[in-house]
Formats: sequence, C-alpha cells, structure tokens
Amino acid sequence: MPLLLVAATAALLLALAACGGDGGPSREIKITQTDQGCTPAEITAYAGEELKLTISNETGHIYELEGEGGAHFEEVVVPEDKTRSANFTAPDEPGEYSLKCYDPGGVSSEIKVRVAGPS
Amino acid sequence: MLFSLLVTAREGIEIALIVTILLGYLRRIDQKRHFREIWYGVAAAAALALAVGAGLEIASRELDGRVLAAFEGFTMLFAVAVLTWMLFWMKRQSSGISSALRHQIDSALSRGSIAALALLAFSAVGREGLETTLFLFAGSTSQSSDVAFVFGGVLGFAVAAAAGVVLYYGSARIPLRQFFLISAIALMVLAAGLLSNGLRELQEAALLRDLGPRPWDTESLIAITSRAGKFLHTILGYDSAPALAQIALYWGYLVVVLTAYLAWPSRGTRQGPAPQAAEPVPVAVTER
Repeated sequence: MPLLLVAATAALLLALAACGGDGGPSREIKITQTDQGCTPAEITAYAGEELKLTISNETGHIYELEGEGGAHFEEVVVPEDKTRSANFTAPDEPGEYSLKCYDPGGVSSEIKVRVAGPS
Repeated sequence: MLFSLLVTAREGIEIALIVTILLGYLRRIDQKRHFREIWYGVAAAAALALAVGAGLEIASRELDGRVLAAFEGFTMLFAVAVLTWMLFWMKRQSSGISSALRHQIDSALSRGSIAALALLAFSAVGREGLETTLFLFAGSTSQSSDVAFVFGGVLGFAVAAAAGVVLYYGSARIPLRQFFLISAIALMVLAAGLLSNGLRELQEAALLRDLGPRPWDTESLIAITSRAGKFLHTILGYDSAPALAQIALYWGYLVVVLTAYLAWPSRGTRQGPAPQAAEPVPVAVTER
C-alpha cells in the first residue's frame, strides 16, 4: 500500500512536471537583489515574449519579486543567499510596466519593464 | 484543487451528517412538515459562511505588502488552531451528537418554537461552514490556479451532498469511521503545511526576522515555482529551502497532534459501547 502511494505520487508529479509551456523562454534575465534594491533597474521585452528571470538574493534575509499592475508575475520568494528562477511573459500591450522587489522591513525597489511591439 | 477538494469533502460530509440527523429524526417522529425550517437554517448558515468568505477575500484585496502578509499569516495560524480544535471536538462528540441534536429537536417542538428548529440547524451547520470558509481562505493564498481551486471545492461539496443523500435514505453503508480517520489525518497534513506557510508569511511581513538556518535546498530537484513545486507547496507546505523553525513546527505539529488525536477518547469509548442505533441516520453516526 505505501509503495502504491509513493508510485501514484511520483506519477502525479511527473505528469505535473510534463505540463510545461509551449517552447519555453527566449532569453534569460539575471536579477540581483541586494540591501540597496534590485538590479537591473530596467529590462526590455517584446509584447508577449516569455523571459526566464533568474533572481539571486545577496542579502541576509528573504526577498520577493512580483508583478505590479498589468505585469502578471506571481510572487517569488527568494531565501537569503539563494537563487530562484521563474518564467515571466511580457504583457501583450506595448508600454511600461513594473516588477516590484520587496524587501520585508527593508528597501523595496522597482524594475521597469519596457514592452515594445511584437518582434 | 486537491486542497479544496479534501477540505470541502470532509467538512461537507460533517454538514451532511448533521442535516441528515435532523431530517431523519423529524421524518421518524412524523414531523416532515418542519423540514422547511431546517433548510432555512442551513441556507442562512451557508449565507453566513459565504459572507465571511467574501469579507476575508475583499479585505485581503484591499491590503498590500507587509500588512497583507501579516493578515494571511495570522489567518493561516488561526485556521490551524480552529481546525485542530474542531477535529478533537468532533472526535469527542461523534457518538453523542446524534442524541444531542434529537434532544434539541424534541425541546424545540415541545415549546412550539419553530424558529428554534431553524436556529438549531443554523448553529450546527454554521459552525462547520465557518470552519470550512476559514480553512479554504487560508489555503487559497498559496494555490496556483483559481479555477482548479474552486472546482475542487465544488466537487468536494458534491461528493458530500451525494453521501448525505445515501445516508438519509440508508441505501448503502458508508465506512464513515475510516473516512473520518483518514480525512482527519489528511487535514492534519494540510494544517502542518499551513503552519509552515504561515510562519513564512509572518517573516514576509517582517514580524519574524530569523527562522534559523536552511539545512537543505531541493530547488534543483523540484523548483518551488514549477507546477509540481506549487502543488506540493499547497498540499504539503513544500518549501525547497525551509528554515529550521519551519521544519520543527511542521514535524512537531504532525507528531504531537496526530499522536494526541489517535489517543483521544471519543465520548462513546469512555462510556462504554455506543447506544443502539435507531433509523438509518444514527447508524451512520455511531460508525464514527
């Protein structure tokens, strides 16, 4: 019975892992979080472009990155001294958006996302 | 989806049991004309639970940053406390709840107080409804898909409603004792995950600064941002690099609460054998 449960869980996780996106991100953007805020201050993308954001936390406490307004990017919490990655799809409408670097109890900053027309 | 399915199936079946006891007893004493009052009470309890859920959701949408994290963190801890207390309360009361409700029906009818019947259904079902709302809200803050979460919740209630119909008509025996034991353990696992997630929310709210070292990092195996990672995060409180305080709280809660739950006597076991069941509905209840 326990073996059956483990096998079922493993199969479910494999199925979930297999449900990936269509093609994956076109570029990787490296974001660094320090006690002074996030860098780079600005990134550019084409409308609808999928990017891989790799976020390194160089502070001694947790840090968060999430989308604001029209930029849909689910909150990613990066533990101290760790690196986490997540995909971000730029909005379909050209314009300026932002990602918020949130430091609980510290300095919060923004990364401007400039979205140009489709490539 | 699995989170909301487990919660609504378990809590929904508790609600179905209460309603079935009330309706079954009224049917038995030939007072079916009072079914309407029972349903009024159930409807009012459902409305109250929905209103509280909507209030929590609206409040959370108005909040931001540290305040939102603190709100979610404290809600998770409160939900765990309420759920744990209710699991023990239900186990203690399970064998006596049927006779207690029947006694209250008799009392209401003898006083000619029809409103008391509705109030009885409202209070009994409302308690379960509020518990369901609180736990669903606490779990919804870390779910990955709104649609799947709602679908799971609706599916759980549908399963509970079907079980209620089966219990009322006594057309089949449902292994309730096993169901309540297994679902209680499943809810404890969900609660342990909520406890760990709640601690992290309080850290995000800057109310807790240091949760200790992080002994391992399994991000390369199961990324917390992947579908599998989010699924495990919601169900088991998975964190690819948990802090020592989160690990201690998670396992401490599971071991202590599960051990205490298994050792916790129900009222029936303290007072000897359960009373002889009468009618299909109480039979189901004494099986717990």
